Amino acid sequence: MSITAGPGSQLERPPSGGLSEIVGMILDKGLVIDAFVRVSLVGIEVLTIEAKVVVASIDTYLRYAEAMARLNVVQVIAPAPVPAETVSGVAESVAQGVAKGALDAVQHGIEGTAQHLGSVPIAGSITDEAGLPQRPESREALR
Amino acid sequence: MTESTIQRSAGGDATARGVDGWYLYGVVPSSASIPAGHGAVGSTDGQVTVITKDGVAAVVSRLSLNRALGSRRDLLTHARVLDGLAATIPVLPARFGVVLPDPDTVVTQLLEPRRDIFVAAFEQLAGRAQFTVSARHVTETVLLEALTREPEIRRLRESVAAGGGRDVQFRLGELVAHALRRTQESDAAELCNTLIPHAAAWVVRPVTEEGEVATVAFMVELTHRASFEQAAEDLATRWAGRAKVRMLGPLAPYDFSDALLSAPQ
Repeated sequence: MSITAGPGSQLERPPSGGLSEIVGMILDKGLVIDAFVRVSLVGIEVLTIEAKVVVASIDTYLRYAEAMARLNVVQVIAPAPVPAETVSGVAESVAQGVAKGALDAVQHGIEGTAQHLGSVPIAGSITDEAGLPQRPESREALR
Repeated sequence: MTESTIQRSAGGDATARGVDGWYLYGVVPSSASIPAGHGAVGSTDGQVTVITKDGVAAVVSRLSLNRALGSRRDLLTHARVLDGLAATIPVLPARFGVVLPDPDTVVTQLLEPRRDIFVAAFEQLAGRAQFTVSARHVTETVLLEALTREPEIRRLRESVAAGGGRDVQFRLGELVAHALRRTQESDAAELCNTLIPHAAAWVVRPVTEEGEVATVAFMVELTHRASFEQAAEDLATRWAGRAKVRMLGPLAPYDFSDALLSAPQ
């Protein structure tokens, strides 16, 4: 039921979030006050999304190995030109047996790595007038 | 945690106070008008309305306490009412499941004690809304990238194909997992770096699923909405075939509400 923004658009723009996306937001975030009456909630324990830690386990490794072994790389085409400064050392071995589309993507990925790796911002504000604290640190004010 | 919070009651329960309550969606400036047509939590024909006091208003609907909350429809309705408001006015979302016994309690326990916090938050929210952007890798493409980039992965892959043992498979899988992790990290950074220039603030959510690149909530000035959306569009085009980019919004500022509500008074 994904709806994209317009003809030819690659961006998914659903009119509203799916249940799992919504649950992640509205059960975990927002104003809470003490003056409740007693209400029953059904199914919340089922619906609440536990943050699943992506654990690199033996199973995961074997699954990746299998996926990699299954990968279809039979389309052997002429190697695409590769800028030496971004992928030097990789370019030579890359030239065998991989489609150009993937190569382009790899160049893209490697540039990204060189520029950004280790600099993932966590949260913040880039405009002073925004005035929002850098991270949501406390909801105690409303408890 | 939700349940214990919900069930903590202030002076009596539903039996003592009757069978009706007031379901709270969030708080808005009292000048706001509430669009109809989203239904109401806990009933199909309920009317969403406001209870106003000194410039701030609680968005509420009447609720029968005989029925338990938490159906799919209840959750979606809560979000749709709030997101419908967020497109045009500042709204502070309440967590799902907050119910107050009567309009008087809404005023004395919610609106009056926190009026200054709400007013300050509305000032920060004016003309802004949350957009949430997430991306997921196309597995085959990022595997191919890893294979292309790393000679050791290619070598081990050939060993596995030639009948290599469990230890070779394990080593291959480990290298692939690390390679995918690096791709995820650099792509998450690229997503942030692409969109942050068009946003006033942002919060990165923890990655919880395999294949997930990132999920980031952005606070966007509505006057910059077009450029923000275009940047997301460009990213989706750039990543076509290797990652799917998804955007929700305008949304109520769920991810920023803690920060907004704990701002210095």
